[in-house]
Order: sequence, then structure tokens, then C-alpha cells
Amino acid sequence: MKKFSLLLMFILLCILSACSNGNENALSGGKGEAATIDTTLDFEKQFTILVHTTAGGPTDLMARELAKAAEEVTGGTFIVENRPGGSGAVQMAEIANAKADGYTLGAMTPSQIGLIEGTLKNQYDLEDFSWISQGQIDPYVIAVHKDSPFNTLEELVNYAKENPGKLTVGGYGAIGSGHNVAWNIFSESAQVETVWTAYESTGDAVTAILGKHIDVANSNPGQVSQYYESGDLKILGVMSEERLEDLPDVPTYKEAGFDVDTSWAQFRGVYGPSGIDEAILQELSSIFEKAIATEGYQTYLKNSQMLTGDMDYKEFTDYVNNQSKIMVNWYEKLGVE
Amino acid sequence: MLANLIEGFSNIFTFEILLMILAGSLIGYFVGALPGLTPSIGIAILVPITFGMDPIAALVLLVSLYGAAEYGGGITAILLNAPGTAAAAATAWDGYPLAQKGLANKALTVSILSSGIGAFVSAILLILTAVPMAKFALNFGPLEYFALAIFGLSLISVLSEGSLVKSLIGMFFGLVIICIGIDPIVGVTRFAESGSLLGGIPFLPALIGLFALSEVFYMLENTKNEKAVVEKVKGLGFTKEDFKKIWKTMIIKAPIIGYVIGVIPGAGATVASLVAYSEAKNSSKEKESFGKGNIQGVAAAEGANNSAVPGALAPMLALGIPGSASAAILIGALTIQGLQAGPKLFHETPEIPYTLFASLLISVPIMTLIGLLGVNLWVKVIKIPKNILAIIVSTICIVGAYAYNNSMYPVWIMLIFGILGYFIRKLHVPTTPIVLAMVLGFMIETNFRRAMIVSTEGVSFFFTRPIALVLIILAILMFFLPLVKKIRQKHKEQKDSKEIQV
Repeated sequence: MKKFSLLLMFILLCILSACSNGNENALSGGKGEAATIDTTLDFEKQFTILVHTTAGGPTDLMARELAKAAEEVTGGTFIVENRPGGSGAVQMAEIANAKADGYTLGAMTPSQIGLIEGTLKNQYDLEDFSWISQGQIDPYVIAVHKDSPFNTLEELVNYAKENPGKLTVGGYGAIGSGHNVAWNIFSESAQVETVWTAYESTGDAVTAILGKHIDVANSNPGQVSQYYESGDLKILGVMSEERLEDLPDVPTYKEAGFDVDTSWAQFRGVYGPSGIDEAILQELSSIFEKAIATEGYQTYLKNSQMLTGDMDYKEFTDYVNNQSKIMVNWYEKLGVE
Repeated sequence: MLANLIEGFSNIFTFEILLMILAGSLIGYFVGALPGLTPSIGIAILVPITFGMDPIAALVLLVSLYGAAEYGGGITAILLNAPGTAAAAATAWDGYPLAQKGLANKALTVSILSSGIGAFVSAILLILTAVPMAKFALNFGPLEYFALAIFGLSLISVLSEGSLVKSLIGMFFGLVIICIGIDPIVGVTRFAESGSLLGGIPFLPALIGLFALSEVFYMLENTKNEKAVVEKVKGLGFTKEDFKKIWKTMIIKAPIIGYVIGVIPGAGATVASLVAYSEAKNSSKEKESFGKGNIQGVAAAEGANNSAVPGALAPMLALGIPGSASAAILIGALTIQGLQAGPKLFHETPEIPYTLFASLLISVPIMTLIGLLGVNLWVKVIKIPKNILAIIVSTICIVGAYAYNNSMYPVWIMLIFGILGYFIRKLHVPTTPIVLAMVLGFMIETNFRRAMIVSTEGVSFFFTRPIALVLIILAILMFFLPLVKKIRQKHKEQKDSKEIQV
């Protein structure tokens, strides 16, 4: 018994001393940096990329692949940590409060813009963050079951025009989500009225279309292409300027007769807190640019059927601002607060 | 198929693969046993390590971990009333009272044996029926999920002890808790302005608080520093009589319930263990002893939650649809290996699924053996004096809640639910219905609303869908039959007492 108490004491002491060490380090580190503002990155230090979803999802996979490629490029250490919760709000708060030294970064999707323009409107602006690199684009596609009577977007639209409010369309997220806005951009241009069914993930919506529980799924190529190949699903169109390499037979919306603005896309990238030094932003941006170009990362993109991102931080910042404008416009139209 | 399976076996008898099975099982135990670390978190942590591995080795490692973690959750549920995984909540209902009676050995042995047997039987079912069962799962649309969840909720009348009113209070409390966060269909916020609450109340930290931390408060009430008793038993404390009592649950019922519910994406191990537990209680002759330390309860809950693991693999392998959060991460791991779970997997690389099947048949007995060896070691935990145990349990609760997503938010949730749980239990409101409601509430809400959106004919939609209709009828029967029985019994007793008076 005595031994056990001693052991407990010992463990407690160890923990305490570890904590106090940590504090000292943090303090001295803080002082050092206040004195001289670093304008280059030190690859002896560890980089952390925070992901706002649980592990295993597409954004998490991108972050991990990008981290691996960045390690290859720099020889440094890039760690990926998951901070799920609050549809991204937990991760955003941590990024917003992180030191603007470039070592704490976050993975992002249109969800972050959605939070800034929506739920967290009163807390954050786009300027509160640095938009660093676009890692990939995952275009939207429209898929139906193989038994569906529709073989083209035109047939689908004709049916929807004759039966307003009948066609059920499923995809990720509530009204105002990236998938929902993508569908609205299409349905507005086609002038049809449909019913949106929200699912917790794109995968869930694909499951529902495989079981014929919804009429149409708004999805992404990586989620549906294998069912397209096996013949279980038909893909009627892709929301992109050009046809996709992996789906050469699928027309773009424009080719199918619906001239929509395709600048709205599911993209994933890297961001950080505002106030990061311009030189460091430039350095980070070029590290990720090189990482994206590595063979490993390109193979991953190809395997998961995504398009490569190719923007430096300036282009990406403009891009994010533009996406935000489209989103605000749609939030107003859809009545999302 | 047989040829494929034999090829699969020939693939796994290599040093590397056997090492993966062993490593996966061991890591899985600890991941499962630490409340807060769920099987899916464990898999996620290991995924990056598997990047450089051969796809088969990677998959075997992750699946072994998945299975062992579902078992590991039962260990702390039995010993400390702290379910290590959500699916082990039902294990605690009888496991912890058994341990309190000094029968921790027996409870642990029953839990590992039922886990092992359940997973093994379920693995065989998987090998035989993966593709047709996965196709069956596709029939589950919003309405079927809603009906399934309502069926689950109707189990409240089987599970509840004592006052039905208090059980219903517990259930509605759970249902209200589920509403916190962002509305899943139209995206407005409910009971939450900003920050972490937007993501809702995480289930597992709440469960840890409700069960384990409130138990700590109970321990503190009793200032006498007594040790828990552990009855001296030969071997593992599991007798022939015990086996006779539970073999049906262990070998037939729990595995089948676990497998079938595991196959249905989104239902999973937690629902499976709740259904199997209720079934065992309902069909038992000694209903009163459930919740007070009946080994059949442990066998049903643990057997079913482990059988759900092979079940969840069926839609994942055959269709590329995750049957659970863990299976979703496995799909991600496969993608990184350049493989795609789904129809292509069986056609183009049949060696992958069949090697996985073979590895299940080998890894489950290994997992069981390690578990049995651990029984006498784990039991030592409850010999620790209560005042020290209270500190250890609360530390585990806090660390576990923190590990849930590396932040303080789940820790606060755990603490709040711990305090709430203490008072709830003081008021004799059972915690079972709260758990039931929190597991099923989200499923009920989203799927009902989705069904109403998809349906053009309103509620009459139910009558056109046979699976949903059957489930709803079962739910009504499940809810009312035990009540009718109880009322009849009361009448009879009153009659008897009157007759005696006369």
C-alpha cells in the first residue's frame, strides 16, 4: 500500500515537473520571438496542421497527404491533428488564436467560409485569417441510379419542370451547404423546383441513391466513379469548365445545355491566423506548391479523382474572397442566416 | 469462394501478418479500455503508420485493432462502471454489479468469451453472406432507419426498472440533449449560440460522466475506506452451469443480432448491444436479476457489440459504404493504398477481402486468448482501496474525455454529466433510457424529417414500405407487451391477496 502511494506521488511529481518545464519553455520562447521577428521558417520546429473533421474523411486525408509531401520537400516535421466539433467552429477558434508565426495551420474547405459568413458572422471576418494554399478541387457531379428514367440532364430537367417540387435531391449538408448551393446554382439556371434532402456526409447520400431512396444525388467524382464503372449509377453531368480525365464520357453542365457559373467548387486548402509575415506567407505558399507537385501527392489526387490545386497565397486569397461573395449571395436567396 | 478463402489463409501465415494481428489486438485492448478513445479514434491514429505497409498487412492491423477495441470497452465498464466505448454501456449494466458482488472474474471471462465467440460466428456469417447482406442493407432508406430507431426506443419498457414515468422522464431528457447544436436538415442553431456547443453534446464523454464520474461521487459518499471483495475462485470463475445458462445467447442470438444490425450502415455496435441485451432480458425467466448482475446480460451486450464489427465490414467491402465510423476510416485507409472498397474490390483484387476474412478467423481466437490471460490481471484493479480508486477513476474520466478530441470541451461535458448523473441517480431516474435516447435520438429526428421530405404521400408512406411497417409493429408490441404483463401481474397479486384475506 505504501509502495503504491509512493508510486502515485512519484507519477504526480513527474507530471508536475513536466508541466512546469513546458511553461518555462513557452515563456522563454515567447520572449525570444518578441525581440526578433523571424522572417524565415525554421524546419527544426514542428508544424501542426489542424483538421476540423474527424480522421479518415476526405479533408483529413488531404491534410495528411499534404503534410507527408511537405515533409518530403522541406525535411521538417508536419503533424496533423484533428479538432472536430461545431462544424469547424472549434478548429477556427484555435486557428484564430494561434500565434501568427506560420507553425500552426489549418485545413480548410468552403465550410470555414460558410462559418465566417453564416453562424460566426459576428465573430470573424475573412481578414482575420491568412489564406495560404489551395490543395485540391473536388468538382461536383450529378448522379442518378441505373434504373432511373433519366439519361441526360435535359431529361431530368424536363421531368422536374413538369412535376415541380417532386424530384428529391440528396447531398451533404443542410440548406446553404456547399453541395446544396451547387445544386441551387444548377436548378436556378435550369429553372426547376426540387426538394433538397440533407445527409450527414456525401457518402450517406451516395448510399441513399444506390438504394433508390432519393431521385438524384449531388456528389463528387471520387464518391461515385466506382459505381459508375460498375454500372450501378449514371453520372449525368459535371460542374466544371472541362470534362474530367477519369470521366471522359460525362458532359459538363454547359455541354449538356446549362450554362452555369462553375467557379463554385468543393475545394480544400490550407489557412492560418492573420498577421503572418509576408515573407513567411510566401515561403509557406511555395512549400505547399512544391508539395502539391510531388509524385506521391499527385498519385493520391489521381486515386481519389480530384483536380490539383495550383494557386499561390495571393491567388488563393482572391479565390476565397470570390467564393465568399457567391456564398453570401446564395445565403440571401435561400434565407440562411 | 473456397479457393479464394484458402488463398487468403495462405497469405496470412507470414511473420509480418501474424505480428500485425498481435499488435492490433494489443493496441486495441488499450484503446478500447480507455474511456474516450473509441475504436474509430484508435484506427485513425494508426492509419498514418500504415501508409508505408503492404495493403493486406495494413488492413489486418486495423481490423484486429477494431475488433479488440470493441472488446476492450467492456473491461472498464465491468470494473469501474466506465464504458470504454459507447457500445459497452450495456455491458456495464450487469457487469459492474457483478464486479461489486466480487464476481469480476466471472464477468470478465463471460465478456471475453462472448466477444470472441460472437465475433467468430459473425465472421463466418460475413464470409457466407457479405454481398447479399450488403445489398439488403441498401433497402434501408430514411423511413426504415426511423422505424429501426423507434423500435430501439421502444425497448425502454423492457429495459426500465421500476417507475415507467421516471424512465420516460429520462428518455425525454436524452431526447432534448440531442437537440442541442446545428439543426441537421435546415442548418439553424438550436440551444447553442456559438463555439463548441454548435457541434452538439458528444455522446461518449456524456456517457462517461453519467456512468463513471457519478459512481465516483457515490464512492466519496462512503467515507469508510473499504476494499471491494473479490471472491476467490478457481481458474476464471466460469462454470459449466454458467455455460448452460448462457450458451444460446452467446453462440446464436447475440452474434446474429450483432451481425445483422452491424450490416445496416449507421446503426452499429451500440444499437446492436442494446437490442441484444433487451432480447436476453425479455426472453429470460429471471428478468428481475437483470441490471443487478446477470451474466446473461453481459454475454448479450458484449457478444452483440463484437459481432457488429464483421457486420460493419460487409457493406464496406461489398459496396464501399461504411457500416460504422470505424469502417469509414478503413475505407480512407484503403484509398490511400490505392484500393477502392466496393464492387471493384471483389472482382479485381479478391485476395484483399478474402485475406481479411481469413485473418478474422485467426485474429479472433488470438484476441480471445489474450483477453483470457488478462482477466486475473485486470481484476486486481478493484482490489485498490476505494479512496485511491476514486482518484484513479476520475483521472481516467478526465484524460479519456480530453482524448476524445484533444480539447477541454468534452471534459466539461463529462464533468457536467457526472454531476447531473449523480442527482439523476439520487432521484432514482434510471440512466438506461437516457442512454437509449441519446443513441437513437439523432437517428430518429433526421430520418423522420428526411422521410417526410422524400415522401409525397405523408404518413401513409409507412404502409407502402414493408420493412418499416414490420419494425413499427414490433416497436408497438415491444413497448406495450411488458406493460400489459406488469399490469396483469399486479391484478393477480391483488386478487391473490384479497382471496387470502377472505
